[in-house]
Amino acid sequence: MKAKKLLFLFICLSFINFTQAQQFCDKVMLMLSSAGNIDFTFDTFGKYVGGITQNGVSQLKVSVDNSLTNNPDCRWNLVIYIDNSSNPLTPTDEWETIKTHTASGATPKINALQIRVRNRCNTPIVGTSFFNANVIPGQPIILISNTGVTIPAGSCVSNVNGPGNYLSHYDEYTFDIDYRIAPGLSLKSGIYQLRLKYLLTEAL
Amino acid sequence: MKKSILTLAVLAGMVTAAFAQLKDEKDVTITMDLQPILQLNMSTPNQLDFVFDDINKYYGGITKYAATVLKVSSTVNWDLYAIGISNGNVGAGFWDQQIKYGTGGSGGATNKLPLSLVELRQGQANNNATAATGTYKDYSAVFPPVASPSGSNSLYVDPANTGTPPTTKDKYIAGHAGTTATGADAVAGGSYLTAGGLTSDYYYSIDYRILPGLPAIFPMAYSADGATKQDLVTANAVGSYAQPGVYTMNVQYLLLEDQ
Repeated sequence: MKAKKLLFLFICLSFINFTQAQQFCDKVMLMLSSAGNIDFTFDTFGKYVGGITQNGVSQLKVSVDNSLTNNPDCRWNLVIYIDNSSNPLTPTDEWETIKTHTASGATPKINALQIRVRNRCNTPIVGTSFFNANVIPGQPIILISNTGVTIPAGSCVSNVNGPGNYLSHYDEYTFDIDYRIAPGLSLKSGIYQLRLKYLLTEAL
Repeated sequence: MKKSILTLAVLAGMVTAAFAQLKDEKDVTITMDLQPILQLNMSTPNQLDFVFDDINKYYGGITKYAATVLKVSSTVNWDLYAIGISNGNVGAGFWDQQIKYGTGGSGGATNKLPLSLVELRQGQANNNATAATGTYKDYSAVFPPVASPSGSNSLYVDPANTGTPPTTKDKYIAGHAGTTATGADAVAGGSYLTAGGLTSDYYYSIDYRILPGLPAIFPMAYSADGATKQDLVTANAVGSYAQPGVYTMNVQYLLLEDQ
């Protein structure tokens, strides 16, 4: 009798677990075509004042598949996380300092980095213009959001998040990333670093 | 029985693990290299000639207005100063004599003309020198009249001619000796291109004056701090005057990081 109760309890628990972490998609895949390091070298006065823009240096390709389960709730999110330090002494809102050349000036803030994400259908919800990176690390920049509503591939509207891939719907599942930094003349000379993590997740 | 429960627990765990959320991620590292830039643009003839061939030029001197324009662009805090230098062929701190005319005079004629006889006037005052301790922090005063000699505009000279920078008592065009802070002894990074052009702290027009006087004793020559006269009579003896000839010297403008 006791064994039967335990079995029943197990089945219930398994069911709860199953429903909480159920997969709606069969596979999600994110491909990045760019150099692992993107360098901004400010060595002329014009670059300091005018800034440097690197267009399309990162390209993300998304593939989300539900062809096996055909679950209509298969959706996905795409976000950016910014990590500023492997050094705990780095203030949360500043770039990680690798080396300084001078004593005067301020350490650059994270939001000195500007990002633009674009594709032909303008699906990212951040719009089509450059925006400043979040000052607070750990807070995601949401490109494709989980709204609870599936916007299918081929819609060519904002926030397309249904199953699909860059091969069949290039204009919605490919993202060109542009970066821009205009430091101005008040920052401390030196070498600084940030890490950007692009994260594709199944929307649960 | 215990084995069965354990088996079931393991299976439950496997079921849960198998349905973890699908994810994929890629990382990019962005490196920003801010290289220090100090840029001094100077528009001036390579040589400024002061030819004293008329008695009025001796009396009133020769002034060359805006003969040099200095334009600064910098990404770091900076100082700017002028220093008079020469080859020292008649002594450290004196003009180089290239030639003397005729016998070069007699009696009190001397070829030791102090470099500090050159006067400068900067068009824009030094607004970043509150830490200066001398009588004259810069060259912004108007040229003093002939009848009232003053060291307000006499060029800074290192007496040993080794290029030692001015001290807190001496004159800077912008910023000053020390590394306290911007405003006190440094100008913040910036550029004449973006900071208001002609009236900014990054743009200076420099006037030059040489006033020999008559007799030619150069009454505006003063020590670096402007406190001690260096005219030919004070430096030598009554009756001294400049030996006629051709003399040369350099005015060097130095832009340096405030550190």
